[in-house]
Amino acid sequence: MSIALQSAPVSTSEQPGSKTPAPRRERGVAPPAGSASKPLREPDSLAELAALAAKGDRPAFESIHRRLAPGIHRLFLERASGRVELADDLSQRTWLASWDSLQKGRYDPARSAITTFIYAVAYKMWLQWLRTASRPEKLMPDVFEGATPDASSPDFEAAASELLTAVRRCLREQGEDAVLTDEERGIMRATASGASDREIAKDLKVAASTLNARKQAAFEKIRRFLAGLGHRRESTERGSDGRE
Amino acid sequence: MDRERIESLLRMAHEIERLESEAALRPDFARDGRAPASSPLDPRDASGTFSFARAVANREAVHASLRSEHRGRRGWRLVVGVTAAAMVGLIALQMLAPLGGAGTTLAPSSTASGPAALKLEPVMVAGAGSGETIPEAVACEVEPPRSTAVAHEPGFGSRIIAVALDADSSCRCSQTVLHRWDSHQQLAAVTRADLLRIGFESACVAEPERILVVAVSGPVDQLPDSDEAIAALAHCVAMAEEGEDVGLLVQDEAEYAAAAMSCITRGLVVQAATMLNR
Repeated sequence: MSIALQSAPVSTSEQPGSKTPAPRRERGVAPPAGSASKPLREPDSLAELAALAAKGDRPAFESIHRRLAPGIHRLFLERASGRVELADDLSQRTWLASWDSLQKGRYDPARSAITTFIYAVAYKMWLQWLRTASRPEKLMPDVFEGATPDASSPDFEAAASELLTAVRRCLREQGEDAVLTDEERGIMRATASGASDREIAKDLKVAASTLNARKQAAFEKIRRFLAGLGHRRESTERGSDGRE
Repeated sequence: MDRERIESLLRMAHEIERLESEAALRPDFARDGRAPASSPLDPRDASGTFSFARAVANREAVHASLRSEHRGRRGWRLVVGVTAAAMVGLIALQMLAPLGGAGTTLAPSSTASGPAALKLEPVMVAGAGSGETIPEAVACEVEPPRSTAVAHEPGFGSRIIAVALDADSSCRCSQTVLHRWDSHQQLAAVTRADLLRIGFESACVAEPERILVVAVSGPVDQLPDSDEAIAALAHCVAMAEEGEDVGLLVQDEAEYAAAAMSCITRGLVVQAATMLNR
């Protein structure tokens, strides 16, 4: 909850019953050294900004934050069922961790988009919060379990973003070398956006069983593509759970 | 990789694409020529909006600035902590007027000794084990309230723990107050707004961004009174944050209330409330 309060807080040094406005603390500090003379023209693309940010360019990181922060916050808000404070905290942790990861060289612009990387960081923060909140009813299977290092590992976000990049490639590529056909790509995109099988089948004017078969084929192609890149769930491959 | 996981990954990919689409629509510094409205690397922008990421990214300069500011304003330096709150500060407050009056006034109440000084230590991100850190805490300088004579009177009261977190999340301290309600006051009529106002007025940092208030209410003679009892209650409240990062308040107020319940006697009422201030 947020309340705008007009009165000044009581200082602890005051006599009981009396109130004196506490001196306002100066907020804000000067921009980091070197940024004051930054030319007005910034790199335009997230890719350019990411490359600079990975080298420690703070204004570039600021630009990335400016563009992505509302979306990241929205994602947390959705996951946290509208709890603004939690979304605020997790968003802040995400940006904190993202900056640290960039400074420690964990982000490779050549291997994933900065959006994907920050998304992976955000997912990690969400997982960590779920675990520390000790709420079994809200625990969800880690999508990356087995395919990436554990979420507590510093390598998690890089591995997760690579996996997500591979999945995004399936959804984007067109042409002869594409993983999926145009129709399969359309079906997967519709599935990813939350469309029901009934809606997709209606759009394609096919029976539900036909749609299911085509979806299954698309999933199999994606699975093989990911496995070919080294993204596999080891426990599944060994058949420890008896599936696939 | 099974179908369910692939579907989850597809949904994530869709979310990422949505992020990028939104980002592409956002006004950009290069396009409109205006200076950025907010920066993650400046603790606050012109409107006063705080970004923790900004403070962290520029944490060295921020902390140096805060340290010198604290040192110059206060006579002495205290460090604040999280789990081992030695809650001994009591502030005199005015009694609330009966409900339905023109307004509430607070009459002086009892005070005890100094402030609640909690040690805030450099911490690691909880659960990460990755070497990632959040910034070291800045020492908070809090002057203790002056002690006055305690007059024990019958009636209802509330032992209120007010935990305040400043905007940089680098200074966290707590105070404990004993608030005596009007003799006609019903416990059930103690509102959340009442508690938050007391908590805000008891805040031991200037311009707190967050305040947590945990109030144990009931007959005054049954409320935690000794230093040991107050410290035990504070410790119970802090247990709600077990496993959380230092410097961040757990979001669910009920968790604080539930944690306090485990340390109070039968017949007392526990309420918890949090507040953000911008």
